[in-house]
Amino acid sequence: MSAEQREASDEELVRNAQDDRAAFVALYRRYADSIYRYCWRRVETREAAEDFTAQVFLKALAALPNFRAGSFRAWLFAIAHNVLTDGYRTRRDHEPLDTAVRLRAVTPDPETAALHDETRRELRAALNSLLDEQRNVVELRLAGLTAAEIAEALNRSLPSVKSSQYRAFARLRRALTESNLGEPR
Amino acid sequence: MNQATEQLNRFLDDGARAPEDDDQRAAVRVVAHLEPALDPDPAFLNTLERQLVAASRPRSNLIALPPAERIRGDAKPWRAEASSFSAAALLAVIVLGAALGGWLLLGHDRADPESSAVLPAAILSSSPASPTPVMVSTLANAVLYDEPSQSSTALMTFHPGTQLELISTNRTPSITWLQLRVPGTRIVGWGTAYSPFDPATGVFRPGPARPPTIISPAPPDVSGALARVSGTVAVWSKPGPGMTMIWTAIPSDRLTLTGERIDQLGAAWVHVENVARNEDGWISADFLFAVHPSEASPVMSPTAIVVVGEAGNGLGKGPYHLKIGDRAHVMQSLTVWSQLKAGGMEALWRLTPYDRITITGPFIDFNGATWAPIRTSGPTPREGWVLADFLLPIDPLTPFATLKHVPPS
Repeated sequence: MSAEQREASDEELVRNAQDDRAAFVALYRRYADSIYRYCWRRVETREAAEDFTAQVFLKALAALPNFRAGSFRAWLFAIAHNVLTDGYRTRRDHEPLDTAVRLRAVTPDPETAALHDETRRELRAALNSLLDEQRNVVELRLAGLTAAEIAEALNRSLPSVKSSQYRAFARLRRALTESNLGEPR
Repeated sequence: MNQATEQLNRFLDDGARAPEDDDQRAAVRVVAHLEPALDPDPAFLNTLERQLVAASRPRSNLIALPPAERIRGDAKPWRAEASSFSAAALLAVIVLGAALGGWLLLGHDRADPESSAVLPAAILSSSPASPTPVMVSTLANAVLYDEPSQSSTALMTFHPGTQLELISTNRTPSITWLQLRVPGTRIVGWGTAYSPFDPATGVFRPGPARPPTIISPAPPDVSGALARVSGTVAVWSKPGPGMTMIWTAIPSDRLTLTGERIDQLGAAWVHVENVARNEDGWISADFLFAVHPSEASPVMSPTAIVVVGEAGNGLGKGPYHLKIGDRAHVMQSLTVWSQLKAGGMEALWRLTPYDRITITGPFIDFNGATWAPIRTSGPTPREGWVLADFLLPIDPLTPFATLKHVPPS
């Protein structure tokens, strides 16, 4: 693979963006989907997820000059985690009635869509059964972060993250088994 | 066991056996299979990208974001849950930028002069050297909130023509917040503006200057008289600082004046009762109409809403054109009516700000306003008629042609 074809690393994109803020768009394109999904997993509605996503990237853009070293992805998800935590602290304790109908079906097969929805609901219920510290770890894990990055994002020690993850997976498996989503082994 | 379940089990196994393992692909597979509905809207991604590009330009006065060290701290960022503004929390209004000549749509602001409305530093944008004078225009009250978020508290309302000072702005893809100050006071709060920006330059885009319009004749000032409102109008606990929005009056309401009247905050406020709902409160007199005897029974559509002629007037690059099949969201709480027929319109349900609908037919001019037939999405769609002036295209940055009015058949 030639240098031109090689996908730029996060470190390179960060350096570019620190030199030229307009280059931040490349980082945005790389992580927009995963940040959006991470947000939506927490806020239930598409619109709220969009606003939180925007907030995360605007904060990241502004704070980028202060980013020095480490994993950009962990740093970005740390911002997302803090934005969502702050948002939850003050959010209204209600959900719109039409939350369910806003879920977009991306498959033409209604049966498959129904199965996906059911699976997703059960997965969400299982995640809700976790302790906050465990859920934070699992959600970042689902977003693709490594244990080390999760530790950095959550400002916790690596052993602590591993421990939480181990307990979370065990608990998750029990919850999913009870809901018949995950099969006992 | 379906494929998604297999992937999930594999993911759990991997994680349990080797939690330090960097098996991101497993996670991605699980996410892809379990969460097909989480794909972001491409239009949203494009809009946000444009916003980031604009924000990355030097000397943009749009968004000054907090330094990195604040992000982990207690800095309180703006919390944009704009999608589900409650009906009581938002009255969209048009603010005319006196200096800029632009039209802005506002929400509301803070009222306790003693508390001086300390705003979190994290949400402050770069402020101009001197505040820009703006003026509340027609269509509805301008309401100031204590902070730019859905969970903010309504503190004060202003009637059309009120002079305010624009201190700074802060925006999300779907909504723009304006930090406003009451001239000569320490009252500072936040209102909402809907895409008044030129995305290319990141500054307000001046629209056609238009003086505030008196949208209603003086209401009856006699105790016991019946009145109605021109659109959805907030009713407040009291007129003045500390006022809270307690309910909203809609055009079909018949309000009974109690005779109490107070001049406060530059507006005349009257105390009304909705006998049918056993509610009472204070309402700006500017939004009251005398009820003609023939209207005494609950009927009628909103008739006195100022038809802006070109839907989206003041909404950034407008005018906007919503055509059949387009998706739009509503800018404020909006009643959906059964049909366009004098004396035969039935209020079906209420849309709340940022509810999304689809235009299902041609616009109709009726009773002095432009109406749009709409349908909600979802497995049980509902249909009805709403005022077209309070619809906004899903992507507010897209310019549209002029709204087409089709005469009623």
